[in-house]
Formats: sequence, C-alpha cells, structure tokens
Amino acid sequence: MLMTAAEVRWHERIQSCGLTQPSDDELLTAVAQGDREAFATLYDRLADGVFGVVRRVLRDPSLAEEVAQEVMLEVWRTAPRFAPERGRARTWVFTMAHRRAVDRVRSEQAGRDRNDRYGLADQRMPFDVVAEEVESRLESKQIRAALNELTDLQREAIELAYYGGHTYEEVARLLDIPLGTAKTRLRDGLIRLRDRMGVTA
Amino acid sequence: MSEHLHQLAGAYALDALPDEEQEEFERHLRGCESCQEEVAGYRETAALLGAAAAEQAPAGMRARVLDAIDQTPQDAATADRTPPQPATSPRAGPTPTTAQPPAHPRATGDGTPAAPASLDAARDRRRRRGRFDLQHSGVAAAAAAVAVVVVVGAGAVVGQRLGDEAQPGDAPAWLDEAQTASLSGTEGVTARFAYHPERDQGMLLVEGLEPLDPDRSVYQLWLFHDEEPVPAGVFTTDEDGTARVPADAQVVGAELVAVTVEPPGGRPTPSGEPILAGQL
Repeated sequence: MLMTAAEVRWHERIQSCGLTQPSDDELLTAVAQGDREAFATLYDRLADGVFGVVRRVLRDPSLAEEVAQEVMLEVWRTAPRFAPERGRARTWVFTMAHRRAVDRVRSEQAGRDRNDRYGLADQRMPFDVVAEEVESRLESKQIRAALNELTDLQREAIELAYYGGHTYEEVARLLDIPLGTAKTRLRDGLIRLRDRMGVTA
Repeated sequence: MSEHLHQLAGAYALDALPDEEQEEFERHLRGCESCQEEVAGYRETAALLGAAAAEQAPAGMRARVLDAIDQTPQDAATADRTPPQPATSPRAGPTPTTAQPPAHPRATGDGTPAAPASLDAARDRRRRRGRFDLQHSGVAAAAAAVAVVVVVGAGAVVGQRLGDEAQPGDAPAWLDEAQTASLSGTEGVTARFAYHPERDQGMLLVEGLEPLDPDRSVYQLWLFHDEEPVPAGVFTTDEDGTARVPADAQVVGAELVAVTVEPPGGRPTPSGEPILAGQL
C-alpha cells in the first residue's frame, strides 16, 4: 500500500535528522496532521501507561479498557490542539487519561460511599500489580523512590487523591484530618515530588 | 479569596476538586499566570505518577483503537490549546456505508466564462499525461465560475460537526479572516475551501458528500502548485456527509483545490478525475 504524503514526509524527516526515534512531542505533532503511523507508534509507547492509570482509578478491568480506548481516541481527535511549547505530550496524554478516569469513576459510583468498597490499603500503589513484562522505565523507578521519600501522611493523601480518584474532601474524611490539612498535604507532597523529579515547568 | 484559590492548585492538578470548585478554580486559572505555571509543574509530576502505574493493555485494544481512528475526524487546531475537557458521554463514530460511486460531472456546453491561460496550459499538459482531463469534464467550467466569499464568522461557514462536538470555539481563529473558494463537480455537494491570504492555512469544508467505507476508499484533498497536484490530506465524511479537513500541504501559491476518490491511505498522485474542484 502506498504511503500517504504525510507518512512519506514523516519518514524523510526522521532520516534527515539522523534520529532513530522521534520524541513523543514530535509524534503527537505528526498525529495532529493526521499521521496514522505516528499515532500507532505513540499508541505503542503510551497505551500501557494510559491503561494502567485508568485501571488504578477505575479498578474494574473491562471498564478501564473502555475508558482507556476512549482516551486514545481522544488523543487522536484532539491532537491538533496540542501545543508543545505548553508542556510535554506525555503530560498532555496522562492528564487527559486521569481526568477521564476520575470523571467516570465519580459518575459510576455517584451516591455511593466509595470507601465501602475499597479499603485504604487498596489505594496504595502496589508494586506487584505492574506486570513483569512491562519495561519499568527509569522515570517510574525514580517517582516511586520519590514517593517513598514523602512523609507517610503526604504519600497517603496523594495516593488517595491521584490513584484513588478521591476529592480532597474525601481524602480528609478517609484520613480523619481537617480539610485545610488535606489541601496542604497534597500541595506539599506534590511540591516535594516535583522538585525531587527535577520538573521545571 | 485568591489566597484560598491558590491553595487549591495542588488538588486541582490531581483532579481532586469537586465539580463546583474545579470550575471556580479553572475560571481563576485563566487569568492567573503564576497558578498556570504552578499547575503545569504539578501536572507534569502527576503524569509521572500515572506512568508509574503502567500495566499491560489488553491485547485487542490496539486493533480496536487503530480501526476507530479511521472513523474519527480530528479537531481543527485552535488558538487556545489546552487539554480538552473529557466529554460526558462517549461519542459514537459514524456508521460506515458502502461506497457509492460519486456522480460524474456532466460536460457543459457554451456560455461558460473562459478559464485563465494557466489553466488551459495545465489542461493540455494533463491531457497528454492522461490524468485530470479538466477540459472535458464539467468541473473546469464550474471551477472557472468561482464565488470568492469573505467569511464573516466561522459559525456561518463551518458545517455541523458530529454529535456534541459543534462548538464555535472549535473552529480555528484564522477562519474569521479567511477567503473561501467554492468547489463544485458533484450534485448535492456543497464544498468550500477556506484559506487565509497570508498565513499558510487552509481548510476544506464539505457538506452532503456521501461517506465512504474506509476499507475500500477515501477522499483525498489536493492543492495544485504549478499545475502539479500536491496531496493535502485524506478524509471521509461523517454520517451526515460533512467534513472539515485541514490542508496538509502548502496553501500559499496554490491555484486550484480538488478532491478525488482514492484507495485507503491515499496516493502520492491522483488516480483519476476530481469529483470536486475549485479555483483559488
């Protein structure tokens, strides 16, 4: 099958740069031009991450698969809105994935006390859940180490909020702390993680 | 008050605000650069948290997603590029229909205005090469009778998009200053090519064009430079026959815009006569 003009240009650009692998940002910019091959490559890089974060929040694997698929389609559909000067492609995709997962878990379980179903212990990031076939990247190792460097209170708050999809009010209730304390722990914990990971946005 | 809002930046970036506070914070965010910077840093950090939870995606998901994107038009680039809010309900893709052969344009008789010289030369050259035979299709005559319309508001030109996607904010800002050229050649199809006189941007806006089965064929947009067709993107229309197709080729200096039917993925050169054409 003949390649589209976009695919031809993409390959030419790769060869002329002498790069063996385009960055995520470059792939997403190509996707914004309708480059399906770039999208397939980006999919292969990010699908496990998207599925993983969505599953952590939603718990149910088939629901997670449905939402993860929606996320990848949304990446395709809205790629023209991605602005590399505003942030990394990876951040853009994970932001989308997490927001969609949280929206879904809240609408799925509206009116129910989610704490009834899942104990606090389930909200921690279990190292054994990550499949061994999945390559663990340096950044993932670093962020896990950074999480461990937080105080227990900060780490619990962040895990409940991020992986558990809880609002800060629910976090306050689950940890039996005042609202202000919950807000502060989330912010302080994020600041420490951010600085520890060298994020300079 | 604003001190209280700044405190929410961390929770916001973790998607840990209840709906009303999230809306309030987002309103604040639009006007607060320091919060924007702070949130951007937290978002990047949170994305690392997300990536750390990676888990092998189900095997069938890849094929389903790659199939679905063939049915999924992309948004136009917007001036305000922020991660879009997730839709409340999943959007259904268009139902594929069997490909109908597009109506071939009738050759017109006299009474049509003379086409500019460059177009004549192009026709002669193409007749020799056996590609587009513009003179003997009605398309050339139709293309010569072009209405150039200055677009007043993007909403007036852009057709209705799929389902709940129709928002004025989705149309690119440059459409407000765009010129348009009409394309014709197929009955019942309204097609315009909007292009900005200085910026190298163009977009095909089409209505009433039968959607194709993407496994069999796609529409392909072409821009003619020095009488050579340059591929500018492949597309299909949604179930009500509309599409907005950003031109994936240089627009400045193009003389003609055209649409053909091609095999899936398109071709580097057109395989036959255009079903729509217009003069820029």
